[in-house]
Amino acid sequence: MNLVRGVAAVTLFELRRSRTWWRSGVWALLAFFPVFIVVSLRATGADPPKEAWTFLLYALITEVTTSLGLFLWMSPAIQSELESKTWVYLAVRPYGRRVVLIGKLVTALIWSMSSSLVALTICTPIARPENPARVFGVLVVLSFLSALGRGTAYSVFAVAMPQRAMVFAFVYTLVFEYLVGWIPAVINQFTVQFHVRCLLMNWIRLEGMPSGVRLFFNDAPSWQHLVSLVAYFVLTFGLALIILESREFVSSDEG
Amino acid sequence: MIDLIHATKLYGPVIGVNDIDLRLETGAYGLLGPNGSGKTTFLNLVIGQLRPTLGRVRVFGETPWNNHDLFRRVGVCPAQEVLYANVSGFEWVEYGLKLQGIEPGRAARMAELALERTGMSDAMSRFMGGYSKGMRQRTKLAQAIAHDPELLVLDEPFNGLDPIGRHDITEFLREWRRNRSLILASHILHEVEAICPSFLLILSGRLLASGTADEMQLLMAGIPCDVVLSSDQPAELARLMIELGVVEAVRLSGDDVQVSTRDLDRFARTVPQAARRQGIAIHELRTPEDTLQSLFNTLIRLHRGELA
Repeated sequence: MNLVRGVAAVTLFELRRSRTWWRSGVWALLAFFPVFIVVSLRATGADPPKEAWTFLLYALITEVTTSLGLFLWMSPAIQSELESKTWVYLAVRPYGRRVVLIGKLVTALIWSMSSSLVALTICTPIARPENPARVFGVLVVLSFLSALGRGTAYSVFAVAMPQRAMVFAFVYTLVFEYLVGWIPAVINQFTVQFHVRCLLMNWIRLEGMPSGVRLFFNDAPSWQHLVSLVAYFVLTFGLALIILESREFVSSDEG
Repeated sequence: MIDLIHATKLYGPVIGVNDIDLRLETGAYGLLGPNGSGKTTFLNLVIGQLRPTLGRVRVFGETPWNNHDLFRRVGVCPAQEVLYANVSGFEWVEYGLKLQGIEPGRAARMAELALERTGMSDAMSRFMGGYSKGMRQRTKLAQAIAHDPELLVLDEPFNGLDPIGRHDITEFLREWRRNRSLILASHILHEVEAICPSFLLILSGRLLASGTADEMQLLMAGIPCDVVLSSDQPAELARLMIELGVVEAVRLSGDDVQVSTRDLDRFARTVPQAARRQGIAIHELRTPEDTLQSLFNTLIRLHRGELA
């Protein structure tokens, strides 16, 4: 009960103190960037196949807006407290370390998912994919899974190397998720993106895909991808919590 | 209340605290030492934010590291400044209480009470970014006492306070120590002296001495202490004291004669009388012996090997 209350307290506090012009601006940028791209494409009169619109929405919203939101919110989670010298005030509370990390993950999910939802709500009717309601629903679920996967991965960097968390998170995203994730080999199955992408294929049944593109997906049933993702969340976040609970964070102004 | 059993904390090759063996019963203690002496490391070991590299630490009989039950019994006011600029003092103190597991309605009432006790009622709804340093110190103290802890750990709580603030907080802590325990770290002695009857002197991570002021005075027996005398005839006065054999070292500085003596009683008995007989006027005799500052300085010099 204390854990739930603590997580709720951290989440509400973080949401409360994040109401700044800067953060709101970042949120708006993330929400309206896909809108800008989709509107621009429509304005050029381009008429790609409906499957391409679906994949574009997936790429822009699930992969860019959601992931970038998590990157900006989660990777500096501990560093921001160390930098503002507020860490010790939190760490001396019962279960303080873990409720802070969980609360910050929940906050990051709320912020990035809200921008993704806004982007999806505006972009879907403009893009007019086939079966827009289904595309909307599937992309909401995939965005959430992607957000959770990225969030838990970034939490490891946040606690293991707080001072360099954003750098490592950036390299991880670029090299592992975006590069390795597209290598047609077993290694790509260790990325969040691969499983989310395959779920998109399974749930939307994109027709007319060039045969070469099929190299980047596999035929495993959806439950296998979901199990893999859940295992990924549990392992990464579990690792982050273990590191956090065992680590000494030393302030620079020891006296 | 607190046991450090040969506790040593290393930061790589740097020693934070060095083989401290200490038992503190319930009470109020001043932790004294210059900047960088290891006070904060000592406190972090006590509040469970650091683990000793060697030895053990016990607080209320339990290991403090990640001890959630213990965290409910301890209030911490660190030296670090709080930088939640767009959060009010009330919101922050209430937040701390919620993290203690206190339900929201009660947390709000307790936060108000704590801020009232530290004189922050009027400003508690304002954003902390607009607080003066003294107001932030008061708010920090409020968050430390809000959950009514048995042990209050304060690191440099007077930083940035104006004289009125210092007086208020001193009075508050004097009241607090009547029925609760307290550890107050500072490098300013008179602040600690006004609140704590017992002291821990720490330097280079080592515990130099501990006890009440009187107990520490006993440590001084036989240790040279400095006395400064002002006279129109400083050279004659210096010669006289050397002839009397009551001083170990003499230094002249203008009209002042600074001497070092191991037997202050004998010095005080013999020097004024002999000077009067010789017609040497002593205008002023300054000895800081009854202050903790002198004791502190002497122990540090002793530790550094500057005194035999």
